[in-house]
Amino acid sequence: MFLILLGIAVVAGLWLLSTYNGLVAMRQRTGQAFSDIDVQLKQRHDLIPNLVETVKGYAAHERETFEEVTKARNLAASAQGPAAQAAAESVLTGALSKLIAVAEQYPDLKANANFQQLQSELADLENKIAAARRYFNNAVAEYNSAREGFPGVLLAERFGFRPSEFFNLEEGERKAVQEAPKVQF
Amino acid sequence: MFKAYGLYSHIQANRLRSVLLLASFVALLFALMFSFALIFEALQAARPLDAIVGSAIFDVKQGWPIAIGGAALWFCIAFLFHQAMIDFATGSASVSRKEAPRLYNLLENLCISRGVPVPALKIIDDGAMNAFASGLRESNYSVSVTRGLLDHLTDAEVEAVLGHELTHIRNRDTQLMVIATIFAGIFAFAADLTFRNWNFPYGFSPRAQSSRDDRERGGGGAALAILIALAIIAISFGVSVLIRFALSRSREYLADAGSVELTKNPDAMISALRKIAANPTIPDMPSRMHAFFIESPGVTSETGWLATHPSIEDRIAALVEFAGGGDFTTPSLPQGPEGGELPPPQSGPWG
Repeated sequence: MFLILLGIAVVAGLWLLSTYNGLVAMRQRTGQAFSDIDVQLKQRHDLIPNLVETVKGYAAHERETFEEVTKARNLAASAQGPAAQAAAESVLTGALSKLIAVAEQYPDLKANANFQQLQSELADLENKIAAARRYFNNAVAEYNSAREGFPGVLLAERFGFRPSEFFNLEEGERKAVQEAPKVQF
Repeated sequence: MFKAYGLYSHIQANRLRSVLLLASFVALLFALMFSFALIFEALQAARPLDAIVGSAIFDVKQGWPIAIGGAALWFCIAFLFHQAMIDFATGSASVSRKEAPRLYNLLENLCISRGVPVPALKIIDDGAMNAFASGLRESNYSVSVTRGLLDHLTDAEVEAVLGHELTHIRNRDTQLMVIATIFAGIFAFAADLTFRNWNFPYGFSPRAQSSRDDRERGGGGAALAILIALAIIAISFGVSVLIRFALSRSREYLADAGSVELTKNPDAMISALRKIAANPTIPDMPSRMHAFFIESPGVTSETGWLATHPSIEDRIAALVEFAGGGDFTTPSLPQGPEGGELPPPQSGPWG
């Protein structure tokens, strides 16, 4: 009888232990997934100066648009913390979509091979950013479910597992996604 | 087995399932030992049933280290022979970075992102769409892809397939399936031997020397004991086959999940699976190799408990439920030379 109780206690203990380790692992995954979004966003930052220069070559007088994009890019590159970063990135996406819209009005620019390549790289990056964000949101949903389910709910508050937040689309981005950068041939 | 909320818990659940399946193999091995001991004891002096069972249990308690040692030896020998057999069966030619830069770069990017050495890349000259991973040692790892797959799948989809195969290699599924095959082989051998009345080659045939008088006195237990032992042997053979296929299916779910972990793109995996499902058949591929492909290359479809892969619908449902995939696209079938029809599979059963 005593052995049976001991056995049950051991199994329960192992179950709680694996739940705790699982919560730790899932929390790490959300952190890593967020950093992965960061990797793609930085690649977008690196792409922008080249893009701006190419468009300037054909539409030099659209100074306002260039300034807006450059300012937004610098702001996004220097933003600290997930909330500030998400806000700055959405502003940048809005500015970029304006830049592309302006470039669409110059047929010579549209035919330029360099510009086309940059545009397709940008489109590819936007896809990768979207994929990274979906992955991040899935990781967050999983972590939150484990936190609130049983037996995670027993451990969460005591061991400081706070709920994570989804990567939300803000106004500027929502508009930009609806008019995603198009690749023309 | 335990509740899966997303990718991580889905992977953990399948890992747990694999461990339990392997443990079942070991338990079955003990059942087999017990049944041999039963037969051995039953063929000794005539006794009632519980005495035979008692002696058999005692034998197992004494003799299990030797039996496990024998099984381990069998394993080592069989394992060493498997690599040669696998290479011979699949016949693919190795390809260099220059010959297939697009493919090589896709594979290399995936490997770098995980810090995994790049396996050898091979292309199978076949119109069917399929891929497989093989190799039992790090120097031997390889990923093979058919010509048809490269022609009909987009870059993102090929990347998803490569991610799937790479995950098989990282999870050491190739070694695991060989171990499962060897395990199943032990039970098949035991069943075969027993039901052929222990006729070993070269006329070696262990039989008890009990007299008829012994058997008629108080010893009806022997026949029953032997019957029980035969039932155990037959059942463990059947169960070992089921375990082997269940293990293969579990590893396929893990590989799909691992591919999404690598590429972060569940939609590409889903559309790749849909395309592959249209034409995965590679004729003349021996059935022991089927488990290593991304979808079974068998000419006849495998279903239910004897399937090496979960059905495409099940795999896509798992990806949608746990990996956040969306099954948006209607499958666009690859266009054959006639324009609109798939090319017919290579050679039917009649030529």
